[in-house]
Amino acid sequence: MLKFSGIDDARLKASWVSSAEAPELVHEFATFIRELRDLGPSPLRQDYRKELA
Amino acid sequence: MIDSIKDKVRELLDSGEIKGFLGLAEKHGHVAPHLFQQGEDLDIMVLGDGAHPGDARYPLSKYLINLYRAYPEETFGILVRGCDDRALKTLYTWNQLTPNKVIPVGIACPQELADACECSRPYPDDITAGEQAEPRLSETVDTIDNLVLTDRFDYWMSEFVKCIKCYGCSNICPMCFCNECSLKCDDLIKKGELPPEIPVFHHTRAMHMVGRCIDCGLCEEACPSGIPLRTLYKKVNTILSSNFDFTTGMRRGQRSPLNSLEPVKGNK
Repeated sequence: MLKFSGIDDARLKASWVSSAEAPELVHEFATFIRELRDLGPSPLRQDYRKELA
Repeated sequence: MIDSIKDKVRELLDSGEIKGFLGLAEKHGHVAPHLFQQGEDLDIMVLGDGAHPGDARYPLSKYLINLYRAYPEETFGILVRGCDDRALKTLYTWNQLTPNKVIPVGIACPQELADACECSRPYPDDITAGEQAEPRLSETVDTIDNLVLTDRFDYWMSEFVKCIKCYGCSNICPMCFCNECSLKCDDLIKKGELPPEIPVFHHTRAMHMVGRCIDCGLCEEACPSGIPLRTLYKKVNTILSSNFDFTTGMRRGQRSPLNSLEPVKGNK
């Protein structure tokens, strides 16, 4: 649905990490943050309401 | 077409098989839902066709839920098109209606209406009047799928921004029967903001349409801002059908794949 609405689906990530796997969790966060940085700011940051007024 | 419906309804009412028949009537030049009762004249009954077939449609199955709650022991007849039939089947599954208290009287939609709706099944199981039209696949969804990502984003945002949060879409939706609605929860959708937070408001509704939307298109007809809601929910249905081989309301007793703990066949 995100893709259909024109939002890059790389902006959403679901990973399964056990509570006993701290390094994996850190790794997931670190890679996702890096990926998001590469994607740049979200188009949703723009305030669409203002355009209307 | 209307005559065979009237004959069937008269027969059902006279035999006492049904307490009343929920259909459409033309009163003072307007088409409105009407509960026909025993001994009542069926002259005012219409099928809601105006300049085009199906110009006046109502969520009759939704009104039937109210009747059922008020008179749980009585059996009612109801006028159904293909979409209403899907609605009934889904409402049975969600325990909002009981099949043995409902007698559907079916009309098949003409091709013109089936084309306009891009309906996957423009006829009910039992057809009292009308000829089966050819089902149509959704081209509107494909059109949007074929846009590039940024154009798709601009398209939807320019549509969603028109929302005046009137709740018309959920008020008319035969599948919106929840007592508590996420869209009216202050923690999720803040009060007093227009338009509501986009696209969150519309995506929330779209997510809740999974396994519920029977593609009647009344939401889009009701929307005063003309947001192509039907296309949005058609996409939800497309995902359900391609990933889970499930079409809402096609088969009686079939539950939404997201409401099942069993492994789903055809899951990709």
